[in-house]
Amino acid sequence: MSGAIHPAVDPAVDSAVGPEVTAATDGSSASGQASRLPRCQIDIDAIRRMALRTPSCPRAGTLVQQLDCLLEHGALGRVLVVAQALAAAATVDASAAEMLRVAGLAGQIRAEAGARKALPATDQAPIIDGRKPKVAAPGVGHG
Amino acid sequence: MSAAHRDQIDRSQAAVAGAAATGSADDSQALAAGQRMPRFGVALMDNEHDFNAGWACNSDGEPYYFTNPNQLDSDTVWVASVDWSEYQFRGRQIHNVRRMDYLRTPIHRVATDMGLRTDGPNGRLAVRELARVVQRAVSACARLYGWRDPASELKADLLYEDLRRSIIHPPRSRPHVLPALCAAFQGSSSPAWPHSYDDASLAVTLRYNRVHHAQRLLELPVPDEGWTVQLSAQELRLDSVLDPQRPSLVEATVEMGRSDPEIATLCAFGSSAGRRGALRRWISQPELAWLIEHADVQIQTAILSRSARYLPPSARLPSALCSDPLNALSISAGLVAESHFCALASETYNRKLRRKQVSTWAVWLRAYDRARCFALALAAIKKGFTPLSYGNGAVTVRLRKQHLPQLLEFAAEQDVSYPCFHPYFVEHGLVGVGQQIPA
Repeated sequence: MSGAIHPAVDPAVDSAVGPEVTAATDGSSASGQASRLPRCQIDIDAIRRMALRTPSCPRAGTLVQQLDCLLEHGALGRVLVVAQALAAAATVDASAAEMLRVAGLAGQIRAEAGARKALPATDQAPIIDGRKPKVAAPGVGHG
Repeated sequence: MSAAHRDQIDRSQAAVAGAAATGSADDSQALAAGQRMPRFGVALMDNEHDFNAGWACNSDGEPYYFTNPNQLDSDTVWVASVDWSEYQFRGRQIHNVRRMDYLRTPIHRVATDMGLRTDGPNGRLAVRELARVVQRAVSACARLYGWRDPASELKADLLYEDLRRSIIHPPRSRPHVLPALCAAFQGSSSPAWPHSYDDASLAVTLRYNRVHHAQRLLELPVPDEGWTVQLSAQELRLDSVLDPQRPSLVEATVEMGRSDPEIATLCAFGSSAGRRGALRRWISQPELAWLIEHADVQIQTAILSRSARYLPPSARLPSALCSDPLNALSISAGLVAESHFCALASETYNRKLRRKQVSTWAVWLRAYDRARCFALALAAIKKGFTPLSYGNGAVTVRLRKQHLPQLLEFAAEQDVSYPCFHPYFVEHGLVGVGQQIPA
């Protein structure tokens, strides 16, 4: 399983992935130098190792919970982002602050995924004339 | 879930919609209501021996404390953490209560895998997360196996018993092979270590990723049903019974007298958890392959299969589950994979003969599973941990609490995916709440 690479490319990731989360693991990054690999490549083994030791986030729960929930919501592209962030953080900087930042990101995505599910009429409306419909912020204006 | 999975969901939803469209509007509404996915929940008892009080939560609700089973919602199927005898005595009569190992792994162990504590007030948080995981797993089953009416499919005490109806059945074995198969079947291993008590020790269950483990085992060859050749004692040669092209069942005596006592105990030949099975006089080829490295095996006779073959695609994990590597990161998908494996690799009860039977597939799959788990247990014992049991893709080890960091490193090296170690470190004072485990 070590070094399993996920080949999928999700357009949603391209806009969301920042330079810090595209830094994935390889031999050179183990010495602390992040290397830039093609986007959407995930080292699943790195996530496995992370899940063994990552503390639970007060907002988002444990990493296992987060991944399960995100996959269930079909937020695959976003999971890629989180997983890449985890893989990068595992190699580049494993400080507690970094872990909590990543856990917080996952929690935010989960909340967004839940909000999307609750707002099917607005969020999943077709794009007309190249303009996206306005989407209310999660928890606002849809009571 | 993956795009393929979602496609399949869409197809099954379209199929349900198409079926409903054939009736009148009222009929289709009634049909849709009847086919609704049952709601699942989890009830964590304060005392597993007493089905009375504890925390409960259904998959879309909030946790609440109950003091009587009658307070549990009647429209929810409850996975209750009650022990076997209490379940038989009280739980089994209730239409919407299922065993604590409904998903094969006991519910409190699923919590441990996820890094949740279930003791005392922690049950309030855990029960909510567990209910969602159970619901996801069962809903995924309904989609993956194309259940048109999930409520009527979910009747058994265990999910894998319901799944078995949706998976291709193993071929029936010839009557002359059945006793040998029964005597070669061993579901798990429980080494019989001398009793010891140490208040500074704890038990931790290391578990492989369920999807990967099941996928790996279901891709290995099994015998076809042509058990044709019986070798006499004069014809027996080790290479003939270990030829992977000709799977074999050997009748043999296992002697551990000259083996290392620790390894001999670890082999746990014929020593499994639960009720005692048939006398282990027969050994399957995969088991023989690792057993002869650690014990003297005196083979009396052997029967050979005509050839080996791979399981048909319909017996392997659903393609939607395996097509996307990310699915392996989902614990719900893992529980589905584990139930799928158990549906093929477990004993079945023959009502006519009034006894349990096993298929060739079950014997071989369990032997592969124990072989892999034995390798992990052997590695654990060399690192100073004591394996208490192994099988089903997991090894339970006992260790002193100050050795938790070494166990974590061992788990990371050995491709182990669960449990989440952080709660163990917090409970035993090795790190604070929310603090990262030092590398």
